[in-house]
Amino acid sequence: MEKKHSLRHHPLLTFLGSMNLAITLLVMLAVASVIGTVLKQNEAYASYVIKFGPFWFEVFRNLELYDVYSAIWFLAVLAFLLASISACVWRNGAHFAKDMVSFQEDKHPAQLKKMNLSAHWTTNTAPAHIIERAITSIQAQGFKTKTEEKGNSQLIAAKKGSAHRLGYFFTHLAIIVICLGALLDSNLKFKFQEWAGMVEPETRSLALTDVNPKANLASDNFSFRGSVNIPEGKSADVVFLTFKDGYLVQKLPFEVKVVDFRVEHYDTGMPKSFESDIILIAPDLKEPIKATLSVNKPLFYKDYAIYQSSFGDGGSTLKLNAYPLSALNSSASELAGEIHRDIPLNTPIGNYKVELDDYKPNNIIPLPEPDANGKKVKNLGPSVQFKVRDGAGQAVEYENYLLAIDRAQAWYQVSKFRKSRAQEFDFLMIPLDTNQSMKRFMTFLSLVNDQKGLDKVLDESIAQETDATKRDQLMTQKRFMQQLVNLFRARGFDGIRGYLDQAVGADKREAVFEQYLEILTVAMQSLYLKTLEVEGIKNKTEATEAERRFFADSIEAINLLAHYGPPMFFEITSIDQRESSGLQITKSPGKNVVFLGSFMLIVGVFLLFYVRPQRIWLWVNQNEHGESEVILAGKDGKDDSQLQDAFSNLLQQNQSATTPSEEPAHVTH
Amino acid sequence: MSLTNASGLTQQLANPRGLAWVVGIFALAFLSWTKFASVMDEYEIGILIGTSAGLAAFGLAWRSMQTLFTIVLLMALAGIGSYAGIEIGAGADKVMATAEKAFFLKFLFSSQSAIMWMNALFVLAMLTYFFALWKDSSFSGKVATSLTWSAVAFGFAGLGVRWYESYLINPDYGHIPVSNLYEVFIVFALVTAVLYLYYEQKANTKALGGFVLAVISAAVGFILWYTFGREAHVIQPLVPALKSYWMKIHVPANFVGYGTFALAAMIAIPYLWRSKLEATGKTDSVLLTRLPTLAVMDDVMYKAIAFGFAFFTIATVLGALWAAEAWGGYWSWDPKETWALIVWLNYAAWLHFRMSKGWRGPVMAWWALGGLLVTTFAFLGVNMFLSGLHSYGTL
Repeated sequence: MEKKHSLRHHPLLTFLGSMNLAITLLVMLAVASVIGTVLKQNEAYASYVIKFGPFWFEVFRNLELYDVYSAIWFLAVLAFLLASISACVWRNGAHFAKDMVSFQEDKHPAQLKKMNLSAHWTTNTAPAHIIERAITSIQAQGFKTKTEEKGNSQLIAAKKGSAHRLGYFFTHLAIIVICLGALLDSNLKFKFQEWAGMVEPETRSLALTDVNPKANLASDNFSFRGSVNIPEGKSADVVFLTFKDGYLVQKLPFEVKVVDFRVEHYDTGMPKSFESDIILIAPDLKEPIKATLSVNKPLFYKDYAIYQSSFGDGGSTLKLNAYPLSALNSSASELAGEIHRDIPLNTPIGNYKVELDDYKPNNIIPLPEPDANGKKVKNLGPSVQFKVRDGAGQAVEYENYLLAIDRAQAWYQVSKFRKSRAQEFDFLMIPLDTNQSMKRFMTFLSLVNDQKGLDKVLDESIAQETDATKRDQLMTQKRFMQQLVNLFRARGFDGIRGYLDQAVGADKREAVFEQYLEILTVAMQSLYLKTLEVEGIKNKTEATEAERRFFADSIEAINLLAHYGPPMFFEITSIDQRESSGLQITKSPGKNVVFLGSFMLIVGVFLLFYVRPQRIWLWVNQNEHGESEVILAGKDGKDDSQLQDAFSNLLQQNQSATTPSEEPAHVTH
Repeated sequence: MSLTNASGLTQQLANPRGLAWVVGIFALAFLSWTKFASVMDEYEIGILIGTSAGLAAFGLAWRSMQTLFTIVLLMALAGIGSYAGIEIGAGADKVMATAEKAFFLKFLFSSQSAIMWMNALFVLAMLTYFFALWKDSSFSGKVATSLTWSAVAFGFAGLGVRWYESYLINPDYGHIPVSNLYEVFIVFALVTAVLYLYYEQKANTKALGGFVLAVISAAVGFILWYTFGREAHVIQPLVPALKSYWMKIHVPANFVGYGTFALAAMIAIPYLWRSKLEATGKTDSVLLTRLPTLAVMDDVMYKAIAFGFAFFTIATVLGALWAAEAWGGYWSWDPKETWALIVWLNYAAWLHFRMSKGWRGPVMAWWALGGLLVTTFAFLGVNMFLSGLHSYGTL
């Protein structure tokens, strides 16, 4: 007993169990948590390098700021907090427990008189009567009583709300329980295994069979939280856990097959629900389990939980037409591909790779004004996202829409593109001809590309000029026209401006640019008329409004081609969609521990705040005159005012029940 | 707020009004069940029973709640009744057209009108409270209290009608209006006001009204900007993750916490003011006679924070339970979760200092005031600056 007592007051325990330490740790925990919310966690390391530069990237990485919540120092703060709370419970526990059980029947009359709530009086009523009456009245207030006799005096000690102290135990033990539960589910064991050289995350995206064997986790792992995308009709028996800058592959003791995946949409185009029909196959199951998963409705199997968490493309197959944009003829070549796979392209201008990233079946955009049917949104239809990467590894990102899109009664084939993720997308809008095809534009473009052809076309068009002086003027400008067309084709309006920036003084630039534009327009118009001629629209004296607009749109499109990346355009002609269901599979043995702790916490908080530990004492002593001296006293935790009403009640009941002697009652509140 | 003990409730139940109240609430619940049982799952039936029991007990513990509920019910029914001309799933345009045409809806009870009334009345109440404090006018104080009650009635009725409107627009859209930042801001204003009215009645603290209503008016300012600047009042369908009975309990429990923390912070202001006056010996200041004593303000602050902390604990645990079902884990260190933890830690520390160390006075008041910053960041800042799983209301 003596030893235990001294241990409880050991300086280390006193330090650990002090509230100052506990509060300091709480504050540290809070500050660390803030860092974790401000700095986006668990992103690809490359994006951190871009954000912070190589120096700070290393500093932050060493501080484990990219995964604060499983950083060693963060866990150390938690561990200290646990130790602190445990020490606190250890130090105070026995005392609190004793206090909870005790009626504090050892109080002396002098102590009772000193209390904030205290009254004493003398009466002729016999002690036995007073005690009997008092017990009834005190118990009626919900107190438990205990009576003690010491010689001539008797003491009723009463208590109520002892559960308040339980609240202390519940809340503090709850935190310990929650932390232990969370520890069971944490990735601390992976960190240890990594440290011990047993585990190493895989950072490359590879076929399962090629993954670093040290990134594979056996199916007996007792806790994990991972995810996997399973295309319709396919199955998986692994999930991927994100760890550090890579992933680990967790083997499952069962196989999940996604039979069907469905998404429903609201009329606004937002997804309304998504669900998967799955079959769970395990060697120890006689019958496979068939179930439908949806958001908020997981499937629980043994210690595992399977959640519907996302969806995506599961390898839709598509056919495309590739138009060479710098060629002298407008014919396209046919290609076939599959989402998530690459198409290698070996062309005369180099080797490329088309990386098919995603297929979006719907593209719903808000409209500035409701359309004729009162709809405020518009579906642009399906699109394919892909990248074209050149031999040097440079890639341009694209999103091409499958369907023609109309803008103010004209139709376009639309392609979004950008050269880096930091940029906004630009829109290339290729005007469509009367047959809703890109043929006219492609013909026009091939004529623009054809330098020799251009010479001929210009000759022809100059020959048609009837005014002799104008014709001569055009003849002198012919070479210049060719140069302008080539410059425009290669670098757009920016190219012409760039040339003027060097060749012409700042004051005249704008005027010269206007002149150049006129000359360029004459040349392009000649090419456009030639295009129409090729199409079979001949000898027109006046172009129609639609034809003019087509021309203007084409010029705009060709201007953008300078920035469009590798000179090819992909038209998606057909697609066969295959969806994939994103599942999250967890094994979380700590979950119920955490929930038990949470429940304890709630109960404890209510006990602490709403159960008042109250005590009442009534002491009676028969003095030498045969009178009864009575003391009534009360105490309420740290706030005696809460007991005031009950105390006054008791005082009134017990005083009025006794016949007073001469001495008046003495009351202190 | 002290939970009235069981014997108090039983006493209330014994008087005719109390009995009628409890019977009425459960009769209403039964009626709702018979009407909507086909679209409720067992959890929602559980929530209905739990809410009814909670409301019945709350009404017994605080009579004014009975009156408020009855008035809100009548107002909401008047609003819903005025939509009788159109059917469930009629579409947004028809709902809007009806709300513009029918007199009752246009001027009083369509959700938009009712919420605008709430906004206006809250601001008016704040001004009146301050006027009453300035002029020491008990009549103005009473007017301010009535204005606050009216604002609360309009707000709750507005939310009730909005709930119904969401189904009128499209049954697919239908949901309890606690699903996005616009809706929860209204909930925040209402919860804070109701809690304040409770303490005002129990501790006779009308002089604090202006301060509390100031934070509510700030919320009103946000609601107005959000409505006119961002059209956030338009009823939107729910994302799949929010389609769960959990939303009905997790969100309101959270806002009891946010509301009480805001209330405590606002009471800290007159507390600090008064303690400064007392410390500098300006005993002749009229404020000393008008403001409640430091002890009363301290008590209200403590009770509010304790009550809010208890509910915030429940809300966070409910959130964890929900997350375990929707996100595949009870804790994901999502920014909202993390900030909820920070708020929780903050008030846990506050309560430790008060309960174990017995700290009182200006330091605790400053801390309670600072707590509002933390709470506001958790509630609003996270949506503005951080993205995560909880991205249901963006700015």
